[in-house]
Amino acid sequence: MSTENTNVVVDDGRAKFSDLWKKEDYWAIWLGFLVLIIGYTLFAAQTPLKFRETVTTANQIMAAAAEKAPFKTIEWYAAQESKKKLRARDSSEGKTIASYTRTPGVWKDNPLESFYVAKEDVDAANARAKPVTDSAKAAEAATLENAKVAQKAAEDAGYKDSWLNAEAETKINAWRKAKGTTSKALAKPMNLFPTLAVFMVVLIVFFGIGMAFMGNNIAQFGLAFIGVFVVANLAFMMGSQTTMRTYGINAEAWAIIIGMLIANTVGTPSVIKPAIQTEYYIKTGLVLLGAEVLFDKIVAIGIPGVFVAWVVTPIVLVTTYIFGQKVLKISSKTLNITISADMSVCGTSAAIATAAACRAKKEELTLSIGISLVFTAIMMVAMPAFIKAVGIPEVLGGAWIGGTVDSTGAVAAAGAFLGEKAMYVAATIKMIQNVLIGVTAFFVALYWTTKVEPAEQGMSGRSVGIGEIWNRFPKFVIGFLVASILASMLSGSLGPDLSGAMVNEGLVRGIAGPVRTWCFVLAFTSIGLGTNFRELAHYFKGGKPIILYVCGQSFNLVLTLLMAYIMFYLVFPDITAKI
Amino acid sequence: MRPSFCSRLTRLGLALAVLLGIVYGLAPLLLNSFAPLRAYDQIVRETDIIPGVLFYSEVPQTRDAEMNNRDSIRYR
Repeated sequence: MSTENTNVVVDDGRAKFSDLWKKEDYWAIWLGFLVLIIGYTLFAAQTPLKFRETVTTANQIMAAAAEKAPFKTIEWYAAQESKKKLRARDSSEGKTIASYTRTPGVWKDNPLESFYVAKEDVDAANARAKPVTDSAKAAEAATLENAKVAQKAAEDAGYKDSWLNAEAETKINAWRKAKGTTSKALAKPMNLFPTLAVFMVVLIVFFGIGMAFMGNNIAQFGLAFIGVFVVANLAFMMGSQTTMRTYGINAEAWAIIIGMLIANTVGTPSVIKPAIQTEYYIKTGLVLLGAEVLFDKIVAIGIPGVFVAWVVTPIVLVTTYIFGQKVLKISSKTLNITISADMSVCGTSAAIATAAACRAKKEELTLSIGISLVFTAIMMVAMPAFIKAVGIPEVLGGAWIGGTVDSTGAVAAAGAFLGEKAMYVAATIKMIQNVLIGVTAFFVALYWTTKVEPAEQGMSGRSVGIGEIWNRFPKFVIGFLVASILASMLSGSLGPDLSGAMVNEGLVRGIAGPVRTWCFVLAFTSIGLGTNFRELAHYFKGGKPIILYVCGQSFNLVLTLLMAYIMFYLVFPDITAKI
Repeated sequence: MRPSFCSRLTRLGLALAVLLGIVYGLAPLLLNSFAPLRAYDQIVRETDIIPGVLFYSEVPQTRDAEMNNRDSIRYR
């Protein structure tokens, strides 16, 4: 994004070797890759023998169970469960990193509980929950017994009695539903103040090195960072309040709200300003996000998923952008593409990547995210209610939700409302869409550097040379893509099960994801602290951003439903039957 | 001319009061007043899914979903 006057030409100088240690884009790459190298060394460099053995045994059991029975047996699910328990981040190093990167926790009425929960309070809460937990465990044991009896009956009939098979499947599903309610961990005592203080110092050093090389005063930056870090923690705290959590008003949104509150009332203290480095934090966060964009995820649900997520999404994105330019005549192309990507791809993360790739203004990113959050909150409740009322099948409903609701968390919750199958399909479709972020950011950056910026500088019609493209191209996008390609190669080489255990539950959730989250919240805090209400209001002019979102999303809803129906029910019904 | 510090502080106080009113008052009231919202809230509490997270990697159920879909296609 740009915080500069649009009349000022950006990146007008030739690329120099010294850019490697003087430019923000490159520092985002070095810092991002430092974290990824640490994560790879700790979690993914060597596959533990126990992991391989567990996966091999579990897959053999599942294959054998599939040969025997026409439904998923208890043994099938138990084998799958053994794979799910494999997590590289459960190592001692992973737990140490988790303790220091941990964000303020859930609370309802007392905000202090977000940072500190005493042992006595935890013991009291666990004691209160014990009767419910014991009852749930007893229910699980009872449903498991019923499931075993029903499965034995079906097996004794050689799996030829369709009624016995259906009965066994129903009892097994009931057992799994009961199991889900007992899987919650007990509450634990917590004191985040010391770990947050240490982590703050780590972040000051982490970002400060780059700031120093870029010619900034590291002492001033360090002092200023304390203020930004405190506001970021307040944002995490508000995002963790139970009601706000349900509505999906996350830490990123609160960072903007609290930051703007301060900036537009008492005013942002000048001592904090050296640490208001929106682009620096966002670019570093995006390079880390690259490691979560794993291309082998695309086939997680077969060809239907690819069509719903990767064919529909670009069509909606491009169509909405053209609609915004030709029909609504939105004056800012960067606002248009940011809203189009936000709505069509996957919400806030797509908006961040696209805005950074096309150097959108921070107000445009803020507006895009605000519109997305409002409509996500509406759709995540309205869509499942509509789907249930109309009687749309679970798989179709899940695919529809996954391809249209913006945020992954809201998608999973909305899918869960319909049922487990719908949630699985919805979450998988959204995950496949998330992977599209890398491609979107690259092509937006390429389009902007080759077409849009030259046209704005009166150079349309003149071909742009490779050197000039390189000068203009946002370099952090290259870091983002390289991280994605390398992580995808690692994930692909390990296979889906080990990749889940070591990349997803190791490199990503063990270090890259938590640090990325902090980077984004720091970035949005910086946005809030530097945003004027009046400047933001200017972008609402004529309501065009909202009209763009509504029209684009309406098109998205129709096209996604149509494609999901064709793919899951007409072309690949066999895949649908297996889910 | 920039407003006085007292005036700015008053604005901050008022803004905080409005925010707290929304967080502790309006938002829970809406949640409890509409059946679809209540049902949705129950799902969120039961599943521990956080609707506001940005990326699939922050939703543990995504791993379950992916594994279930892949295994269903491979082993059925």
